[in-house]
Amino acid sequence: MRRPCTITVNSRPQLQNLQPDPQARVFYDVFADALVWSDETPPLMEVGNGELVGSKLRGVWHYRTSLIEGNPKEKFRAAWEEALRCFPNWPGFLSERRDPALAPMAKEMRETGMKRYEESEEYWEKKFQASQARKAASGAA
Amino acid sequence: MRALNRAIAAGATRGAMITTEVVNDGVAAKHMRRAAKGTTWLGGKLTRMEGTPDGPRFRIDFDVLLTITE
Repeated sequence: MRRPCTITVNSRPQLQNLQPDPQARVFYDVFADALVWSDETPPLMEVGNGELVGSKLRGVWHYRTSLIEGNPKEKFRAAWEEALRCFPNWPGFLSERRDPALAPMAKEMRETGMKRYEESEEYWEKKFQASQARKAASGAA
Repeated sequence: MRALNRAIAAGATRGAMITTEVVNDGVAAKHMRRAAKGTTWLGGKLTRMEGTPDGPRFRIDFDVLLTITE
């Protein structure tokens, strides 16, 4: 079913007007489980009514990465098609950004990215526990 | 973490945070397990919210917000 343009209601014009940056760097977005290029969101991640552009594009990025990997995730096709229809000039649609030749890099970046995310979660959980213990100790003293 | 520490710096002692859509199945599953088992995340209680077609969203309630320092 054709989805209305709801992904990025407030920031659609900004996305449509973004220019590809030849120096754009690629990174792995943990919450999207996808490759993302640095020129695919406006300079400020938060535009119009506090809309978080990056979070709204997760389904689109995920679908593109699944195209790279030769295993299209049908669940996200509607998000991809909506984006294509609503902001077709977005740099994220450059054909070289869905080239299957990127698959080994996507795999490696996912492995590294998830490992770092899990280590970071563990690190902060330990820090939280330590803060809590310090607070309890100072309260008991 | 940055959002939590910013809230604490602004004087918050308790509060709730709502995540955006979690598309990563692995991360979403982890949060769903925490929500189902009542396991906290940095001291916050997770509740699964109605999501969008792209993924679930979560509410995280912090009864106590503690500054976490390096």
